[in-house]
Amino acid sequence: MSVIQAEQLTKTYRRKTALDDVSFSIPEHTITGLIGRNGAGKTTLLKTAAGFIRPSAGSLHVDGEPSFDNLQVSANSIFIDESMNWPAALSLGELLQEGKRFYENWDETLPETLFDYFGLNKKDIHKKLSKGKKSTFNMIFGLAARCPVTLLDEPMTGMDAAVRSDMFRVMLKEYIAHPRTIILSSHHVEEVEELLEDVILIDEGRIQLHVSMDDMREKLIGLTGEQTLLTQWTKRHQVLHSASAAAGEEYVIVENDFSEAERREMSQNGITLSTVPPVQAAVYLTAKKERSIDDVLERR
Amino acid sequence: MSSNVVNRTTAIGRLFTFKCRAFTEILSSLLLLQLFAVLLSSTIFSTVTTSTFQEGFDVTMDTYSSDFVIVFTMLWGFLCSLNITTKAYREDDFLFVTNRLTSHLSTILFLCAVSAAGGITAALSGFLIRVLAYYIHDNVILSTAFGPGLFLTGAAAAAGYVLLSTAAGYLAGIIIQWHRAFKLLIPAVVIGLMSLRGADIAEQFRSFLYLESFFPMFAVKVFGMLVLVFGAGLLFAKRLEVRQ
Repeated sequence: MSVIQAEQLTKTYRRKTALDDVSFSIPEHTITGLIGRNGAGKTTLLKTAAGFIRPSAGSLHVDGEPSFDNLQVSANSIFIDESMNWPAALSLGELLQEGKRFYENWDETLPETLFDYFGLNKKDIHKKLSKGKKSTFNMIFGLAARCPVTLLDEPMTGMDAAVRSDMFRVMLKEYIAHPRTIILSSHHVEEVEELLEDVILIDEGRIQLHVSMDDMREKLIGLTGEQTLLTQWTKRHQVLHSASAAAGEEYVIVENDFSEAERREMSQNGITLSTVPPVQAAVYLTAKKERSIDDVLERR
Repeated sequence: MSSNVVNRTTAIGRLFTFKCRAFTEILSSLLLLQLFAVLLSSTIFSTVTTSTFQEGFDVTMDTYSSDFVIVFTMLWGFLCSLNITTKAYREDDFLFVTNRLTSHLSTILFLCAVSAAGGITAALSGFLIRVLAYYIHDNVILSTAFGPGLFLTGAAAAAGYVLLSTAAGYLAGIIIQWHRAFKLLIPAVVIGLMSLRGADIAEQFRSFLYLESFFPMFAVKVFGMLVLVFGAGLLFAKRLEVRQ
């Protein structure tokens, strides 16, 4: 059953199009990674799902209800990002109390167990916390709410690597114990890789790819070998990335549409095949050839 | 999906309670401001009337009242509600369970509550001002008899005035969200109108509300104006995004 369903969703602001004719459907109880470069439309997509943003055209439904300005959608979803503006008059403990009043499935024990570990104090004021601790609190709040739809927009901003990895473990355990539908956008995709089941690749407001993580791993292939040999094999491909490898050989990344037989033949010809990690794949798939930073710097 | 169903009234109630807890600085600022106004009212801000008699002696009468406190409270109400419409406050609700309607209605409910508090304390300040004036000035004190009925209507009227100014602030705040240019335009229009037709407007207002001596009629007029202003606010807000 799909919990979040977008159909031809478009959002335009005065000058730019943030989402351009986006359609997708996210099944219940999955963790989906939202990957894209800055300004690709990740935040707009998540905020539309949360019901904060009015679609310019098309629709986005959460559990069968149009999400915009919808009380039921609000009751069943939570949106966590780094700019959560908590009232300064309430301490963290009081904010948790408010959370408990508002969210039906609120889990009191989770914050209790995690506060100490992550160095948070119930008497702290959110505005006075460090950036990393702010994010930590937001994340704990978001998980404790146990909303059927949990939208996390760069939730790990400012956390150091150790806290991030701890937090991912917490998230995974929470998800297994209390399954929910999670969409997570993160710059640290390499760290969430094993957490994600599906991935949505978004670029310039369009969905480039919506596949399972396994398919994403298979999407691209790295080939290392003699240049002439490689050119032969990659005639019909667009080379997404090339670099010189050791011993006069070349390394190229292309879309992996080779048959089993072709791959065997390549290996026999002395080409080394390698997998491309999903994060790297995402970068190459959304990279604009003409906008490569090296090109820009060279042209100067 | 195990759906949590929330009805509107429950959501508004929860949001209202949340606001009462989270916006405490609004109430503490009211207290400070009124205290300041009381001090001014009981010392320098009195209405002085001097009557000269033929026999060659003058009678100077200082009137100490809470009028000034009420005006101050109205100003406070205007600024507070303007403040509530800024990003820092208005997005608070969306951390929790709400939609636009419940958010606005709970805010209006909150404004009613603080206006009632402001009205009652402003009316009570009248007593404090008289007591202070008695000790500060060594003149003869004349005071009219003061029953609980009169006090209650006074407090209700003060609350009505304060609520009206919060409504005005709220509407202004919502219009500003449309476009930042209104930040300048609204004061410009208000000041412009005041300098051109200020006397007329004040007279209109005076005869429409201030001189209304029949309390139920006053209440109906205030209520009508509130519905108009808050209604306009809700209508304008409908065109905005929920949270940017």
